[in-house]
Formats: sequence, C-alpha cells, structure tokens
Amino acid sequence: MPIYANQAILDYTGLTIDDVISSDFRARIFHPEDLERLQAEREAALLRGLPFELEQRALRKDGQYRWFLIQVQPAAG
Amino acid sequence: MVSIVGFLSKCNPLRDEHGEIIRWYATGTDIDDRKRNEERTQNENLVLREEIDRSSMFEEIVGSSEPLRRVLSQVAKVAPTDSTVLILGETGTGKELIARAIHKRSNRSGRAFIRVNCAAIPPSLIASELFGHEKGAFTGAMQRRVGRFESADSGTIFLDEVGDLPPETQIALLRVLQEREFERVGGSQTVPVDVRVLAATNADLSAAVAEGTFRQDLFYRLNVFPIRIPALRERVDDIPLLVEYLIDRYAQAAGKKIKNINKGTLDLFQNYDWPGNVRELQNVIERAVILSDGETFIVDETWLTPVTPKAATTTVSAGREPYGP
Repeated sequence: MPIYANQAILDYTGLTIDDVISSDFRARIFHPEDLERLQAEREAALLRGLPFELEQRALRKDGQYRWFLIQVQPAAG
Repeated sequence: MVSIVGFLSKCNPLRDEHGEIIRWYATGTDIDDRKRNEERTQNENLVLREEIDRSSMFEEIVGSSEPLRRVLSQVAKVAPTDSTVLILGETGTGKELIARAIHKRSNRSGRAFIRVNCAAIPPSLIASELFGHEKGAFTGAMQRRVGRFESADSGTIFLDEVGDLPPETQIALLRVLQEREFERVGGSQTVPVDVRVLAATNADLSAAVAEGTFRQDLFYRLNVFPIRIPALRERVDDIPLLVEYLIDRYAQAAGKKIKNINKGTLDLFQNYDWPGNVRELQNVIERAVILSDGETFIVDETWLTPVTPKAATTTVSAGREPYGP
C-alpha cells in the first residue's frame, strides 16, 4: 500500500492522496489483466529486496489505459 | 516518442531476511507509444511469416495451353475489380496460386494476403480463427485474439476449402460478405472490415447445396465470378514446360546438373492421368531429382500407379474427431 504519491500521479489518475494511500489503489489504477499476469513476479521481486521493473497499463483520468514502465527501488531504513 | 510523466510513489515498508526495513520507491515512465508500436510490429510479423510460409510454393504459373490461357485471361479481368471470386479445381491444380495472382494484380496488392485452410482447422475453432475472440470467450481463451478477417483488413482473404465450413460459420461468413462487419467470438462490439474475399474448393458446391450441407445464399454470394482451373490431364500440352521448369528448380536446390529428359519418361507423363495434378507432378520430379545420379532425368514407371485415396480420407476425418465441441 503506498504511503506517498507525487502530484504527477494525482494529475494523471485524477485521484486524491487519500485514494492513493488506500489498499485498493493498485486495483483501481492498473489494468486487471496486468495485475493478474504480473502478480507472482511482483511478489517474488518484493521478497528478493532488489530493484525490479514491470510494464503495465495505468488508467488515466479520462478512462484510457496507457502503458508504463514501473521501476521499483528498495531503500533501507 | 516517449514522454516521462515522472511518477513517484513510496510504498509500505517491508522487512528483508535480516530484519532490515525496506522502503520501496516506484517511478513510472510512459512507454505507451513504444508498446503500441511493438503490437503493430507483432501483427505485421504474423502476416509476413504467413507470406514466407507460403512463398515456398512454386511462384509461377507455368504453361501456354489453351485451357490455362483462358484461366489467366479471366484472372486479368477480375483482378482489378473488388469482386468475390470462387476458384474451382481438383486438388493440386494450383488454386492458391491463382488466388495469389488475383491479389497481386489487384489494387490491394500492397496489403496483406491472408490464407485460411478451412479444412485444416477443427470445426470448433474455426469461428475464432476467422473472427477472433475476446478474452474469456471460451475455456483457454486467455487473451483477446485478432482473427484472420481483421488481419486481412484492406487486403485479401483467401478461404481455401470453403466447402468444409461448418453451418454456423457459414452464417457468419455470409454476414461479412453482406454487411462487411462481424463480431469477435464472445464479444458484442461490431468490427467493420474492408476485405476482398477469394474462396476455393475442390468439392462440388452445388451438390453440397442440394444435400443441404452448404447454404444456398452463401453459395450465391461466393459464386459471383467462378474460375475453373483445368486438371493437369486437360492440359497435357503444358507438361513438357512444367517438367523442365520443375527439374530446373529442384536440380538447382539439390546442386545437380540435369541436361536431358528421357523421351520415355515424357511420354509416360503425358499419358498418365495425374489425379494429384501439378502437385503430384511436382512431388514425382522432386523425388526423381534427388535419386538421379546422371545428367538424364528418368522416372520409374511404378511411381505413377494411382493409389486409392479411401484410407487417407478415413484418417483425416478420424483425426478431426478429438477437436469436436
């Protein structure tokens, strides 16, 4: 669950910061097919604790899905 | 063009295997244009691969006999129009070659030529093959799939062995021919399509209509411009030219030099009735070239003994059973 999002995310998705930090954020933003397709890969990557990348579609506020490269970096502490 | 939206989000901390807390920072980069280009390229690849598969067939229509000249004149006349053409002929007469010739001489020649062998696809899958399907349309439909009609948009679709289409697909095909639109299997959205339809069969479609296995209205829609390709035994004058052409082709491929054709062999060829037509001739020549040691082309008479096709037919229909609905 996210604890912070920058203005670009809010502008793109049309969501408020409260929406973003809720538990259903990912389901609201990412394409259900991609969530299903990437679920195992994402969980494994989070457990490894190393940087990883995913390509998935994110819903824009006008209802259109666009492809994004999501790059995820861990930071200790 | 890739624009960077500059997403940044921070996710819940997790503990790693040493108990250290990890925070995750995620950034997002808009790669939509790239992904869509990839999809387009993938679709084009499918079409090109199809082309490569087929181009291994003999490229030219060889011969100068009167029956063949009549066919080629019909091809020249109908090609530039957008008419539906029904190509009739026995197995191995080169129906696909004629279909390709029509496409090449049409205004659609720069676009896709998609061939579908209706007899080679299990009846339960043919609708999805032709019209595509939506994700979840049936068990195993994991992704949306574009059908052959959509792949052929603004080009030509060649429906080989059209007489083998199951009744429910005949209705859907009739609709595409009439309305120029269809729905994907499991979908409700209408997809408009601009495709020229060429169809071929070695079956007697009027008999199939009389028997009730082929729709009469579809037959009339397909039979706009019928072209009948003569069997090889009806154009024996073309045999010497064809033999020369095919020997040349196979000898080149095998790295052999064949300079003469045995006179007896040529007589044998011209007196045989070639139930498998040009394809059978092609196979016999390929085999003879592989086996030949000298510079003279010679064929063993026993290769031309006709075999009854009964056993083969039984195997094909039995092979299709497991795919049934």
